[in-house]
Amino acid sequence: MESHSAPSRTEVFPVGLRVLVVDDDPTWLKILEKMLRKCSYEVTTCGLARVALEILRERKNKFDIVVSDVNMPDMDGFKLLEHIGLEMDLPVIMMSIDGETSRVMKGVQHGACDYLLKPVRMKELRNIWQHVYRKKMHEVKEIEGHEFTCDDLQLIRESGFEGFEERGLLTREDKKRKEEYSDQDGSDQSAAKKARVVWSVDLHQKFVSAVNQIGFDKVGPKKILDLMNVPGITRENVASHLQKYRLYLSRLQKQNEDSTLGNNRRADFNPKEPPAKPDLKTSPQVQQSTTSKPSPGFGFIAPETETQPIKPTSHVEEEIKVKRKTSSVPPLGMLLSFAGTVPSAEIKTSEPLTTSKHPHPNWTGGLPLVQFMQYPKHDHDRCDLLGDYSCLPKPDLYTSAPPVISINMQNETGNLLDVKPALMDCIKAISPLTCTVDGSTLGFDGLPGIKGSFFEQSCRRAETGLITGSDLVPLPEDLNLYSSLQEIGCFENVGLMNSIDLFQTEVESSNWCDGSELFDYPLIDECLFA
Amino acid sequence: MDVSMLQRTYLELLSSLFSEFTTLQKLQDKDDPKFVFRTVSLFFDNAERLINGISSNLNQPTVEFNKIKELVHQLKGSNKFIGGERIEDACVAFRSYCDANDLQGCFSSMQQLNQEFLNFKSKLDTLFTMEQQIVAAGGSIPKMQ
Repeated sequence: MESHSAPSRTEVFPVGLRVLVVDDDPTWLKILEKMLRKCSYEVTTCGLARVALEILRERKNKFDIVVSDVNMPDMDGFKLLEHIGLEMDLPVIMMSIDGETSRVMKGVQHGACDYLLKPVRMKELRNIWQHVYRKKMHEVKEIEGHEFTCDDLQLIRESGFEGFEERGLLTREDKKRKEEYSDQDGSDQSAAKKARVVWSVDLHQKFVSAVNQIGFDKVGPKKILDLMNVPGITRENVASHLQKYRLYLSRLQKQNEDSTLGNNRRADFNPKEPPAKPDLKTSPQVQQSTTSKPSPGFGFIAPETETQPIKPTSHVEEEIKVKRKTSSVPPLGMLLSFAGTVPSAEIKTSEPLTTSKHPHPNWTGGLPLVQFMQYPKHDHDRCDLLGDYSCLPKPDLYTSAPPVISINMQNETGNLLDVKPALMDCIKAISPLTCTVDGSTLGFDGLPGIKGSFFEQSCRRAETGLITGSDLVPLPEDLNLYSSLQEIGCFENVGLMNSIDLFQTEVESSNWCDGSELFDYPLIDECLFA
Repeated sequence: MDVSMLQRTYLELLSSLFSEFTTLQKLQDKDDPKFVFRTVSLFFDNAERLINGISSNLNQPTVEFNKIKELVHQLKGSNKFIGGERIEDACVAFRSYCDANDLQGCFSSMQQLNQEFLNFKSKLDTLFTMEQQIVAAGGSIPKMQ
């Protein structure tokens, strides 16, 4: 809309709604295109799901809504639906000849805003703008909850969420931010368009700290990207990594819930911790005050290795903890930080991460590792981050979640489909809440300027740890997490990085509690004392 | 031929088609006068491709009924807007034969489908010719209400 709309848009939303239609049947494609054009929408057609994804990736923010058929030769329509929801967070409408309830339900479960039966009537197509509007309203509401100014909200509402720049509705700050994002995107995209980002420990560390800094429930790829301030990665990289991250945490949560034995074992380790890391126990900003607990990764690693890796870093921890300004990380944020690889909630800025005070300078990942060990700073009985959340407010969210994330990422391809069913169960369990997540967390890319400023403002204020339904694990995004993780294959490259190894271990076995401990420790030793 | 008679005949022919066809007609406007024609052509091209696929699958030494079923399903879907009920019915019957792995039934369904398509095609050809005739005779193409 920004690029090809006249400076003074006189049309009122939803005129000019940008629709991408995906259908393998050329007849339908033609008919739908015609119908949508008659509704005064801007239509782009596509016969293949993969091509559609490419189009959406290349021309992010150039579409408002996607209409897609369920049956397509190259990719299942539901899969496409998930991809879009995860990566672009656009509303997707499914179409099919088949109106069977189970199919429709599947569509909705996968995140479809609507499910139309073919032959689609024009009046149905005419109404699709509602989904775009609803989504944006929801996003506004999310921002509202994070202390956005009334004026900004008013602007957004009035404008009907389109043509912000042209209408001069963006504040100067928003525009500046938008430009920054655009620049960043431009250079990033050209440089790293198809490059695989290797999520090294260091990079991941920055990522996690950015996530925590923003506050998980308000996090968005762009914001993270901005905070990370790492050249060469795109928002898309961050988005997919974020998804994986969330999924990973959810899985840990689930595993942690399942394995009380593991918890007990970790609890045993705790006594070792306090002397080395008093701050662990008494993390000032922890919402719950239970005994301190290392992250699952940490729990595995540190205790077994006599807390040696930990000791030298305790002072760093202190530093980091102190630096963190906001105390309460929303449970979701906690949930979503990679166990053992994520900066704890307390760690706010990324500076501590980069300044390595680790006694082993040749281990560049030293500091991050420390961070990793820090993470489950909450004083919880559970030993991993996810488990921690059960102690946090709204425990019902987590306890009620079925063991979804027992996803076996053993297959190299990290097939999204493998992840889906389990995750879908989880979604089902949390169903009333999950739908809202889409709009709330990821996918703010649709309105870069506005959203950027939203996040900015929301970050400035102290996080309250308020957990709303929308704070729940954004499931559609999670779905991509593992698959893209496998794609990126970053973790394979980071051999000695314990946190990454840990993560990969998590990825590889669903019983990470039991298995990973054993071989992580030597690595830790190697890394730390190489 | 009298224009009004042409138009009447035209409307009769039109009403014998799927009601959705008239929807298709409504999409056509003076900016895009050939819309219906082009869409229908697309439909037939696609249908031909699908039917050929079905046919070749049927003639395989080992018939894969699932594949055929899928193709028939696509055909049915494509037909939703354009074709006639008869084509749809033929598709439905075809699919049940596929489900039953009834090769004989599939063959007969195939024949029926072919026939229905030919019928439909000739109907549409007549329709388009009539449109041209009406216009040539100075009349306007009547639209269904």
